[in-house]
Amino acid sequence: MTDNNSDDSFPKRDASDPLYDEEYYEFLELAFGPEKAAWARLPRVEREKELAWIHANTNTPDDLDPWPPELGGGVDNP
Amino acid sequence: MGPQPFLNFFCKLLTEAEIDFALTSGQACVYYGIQQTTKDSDWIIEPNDLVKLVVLLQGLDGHQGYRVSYRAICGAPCSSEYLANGWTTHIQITDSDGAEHHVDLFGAAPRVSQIEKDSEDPNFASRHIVAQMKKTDREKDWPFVFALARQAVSLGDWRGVLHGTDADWLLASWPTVPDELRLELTTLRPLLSMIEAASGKLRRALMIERFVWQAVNRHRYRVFQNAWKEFFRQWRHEAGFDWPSTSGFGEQVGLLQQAAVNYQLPPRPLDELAKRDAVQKARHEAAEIFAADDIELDTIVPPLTWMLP
Repeated sequence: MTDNNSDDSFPKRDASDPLYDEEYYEFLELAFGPEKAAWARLPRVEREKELAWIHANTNTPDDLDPWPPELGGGVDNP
Repeated sequence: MGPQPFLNFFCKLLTEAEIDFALTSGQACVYYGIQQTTKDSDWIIEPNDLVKLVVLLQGLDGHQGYRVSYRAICGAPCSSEYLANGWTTHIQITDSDGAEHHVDLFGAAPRVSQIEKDSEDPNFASRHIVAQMKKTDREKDWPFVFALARQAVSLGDWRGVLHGTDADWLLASWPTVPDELRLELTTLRPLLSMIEAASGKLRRALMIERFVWQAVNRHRYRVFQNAWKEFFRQWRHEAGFDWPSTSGFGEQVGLLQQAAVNYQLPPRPLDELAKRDAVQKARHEAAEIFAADDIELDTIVPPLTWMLP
């Protein structure tokens, strides 16, 4: 694990926003797809900018089940 | 207001009101850099602070264009009597821009005995807590459990091995766990003992263990769902039923509390007997599906107090 992003064009990362080893991001790519893995690699500030754009410009999918998954929600929204 | 500014706004409100809280589930995963798209938010609130929270929400309702309302599927009254016993409360906050924010409130979060916060940002539940909460019966939650496990171990929190779902990763990670922690971790997750025993059954055990978590969760929430549906079915037949009423949040609070009394919504449906029953059913199902006997299940199934504290 390294503490700082090697790309100087990104803001420096702090302890609350560590960069993980490459295997971790490979796992994210397998589990969630390349787009979300690429997002996960960004520093927090950049991730939040992306999120703001996604929420402002797309009909963001969400857990529309009235119950949270901890109380059984998601059965119709797997 | 978008979802992220709303979270910052609500965190600030809770902090100023001296309410002990932790953002958890999907939004915590966003914070930990794992998830992109969730908009709802789940909050663990210290049950003793729920009175302060209700006062806060009543004050927010109607203030500067904000509207606070229970949702139709409202869960239980927002009180320690219910939330400390595993119920959730579901509200909606509409901001001055007209954006609706779904807020789910926990007192005692599932599978969690004590709130633990992120060391870097105490507004968020720790990775360990979020991973434990994410052990639901939805398949899509399990990659998050494993991602949180990997993060935790990367950062030196060895409890991550309690949440790892991949045999190769566990085999590689276990030797790095300090000796003095191993007994405690193995007590909470018996299958870890298979690593040192080199039993060759770790992959099978991981499948059975996940099945048991999922089945226990299913049997746990059915207890709450059945109790709530029975309550709501009776309430809906009440003359003049109007829910969620268009009156203010304060009036809704009184209506729901009275309905909970009138139609006997049980504060603690998941008692010790129901917990044992949930685990027993999960074991029976696992025994049938995986052809596992009691001896094998004893080496895999986590303690009841860990799955249903």
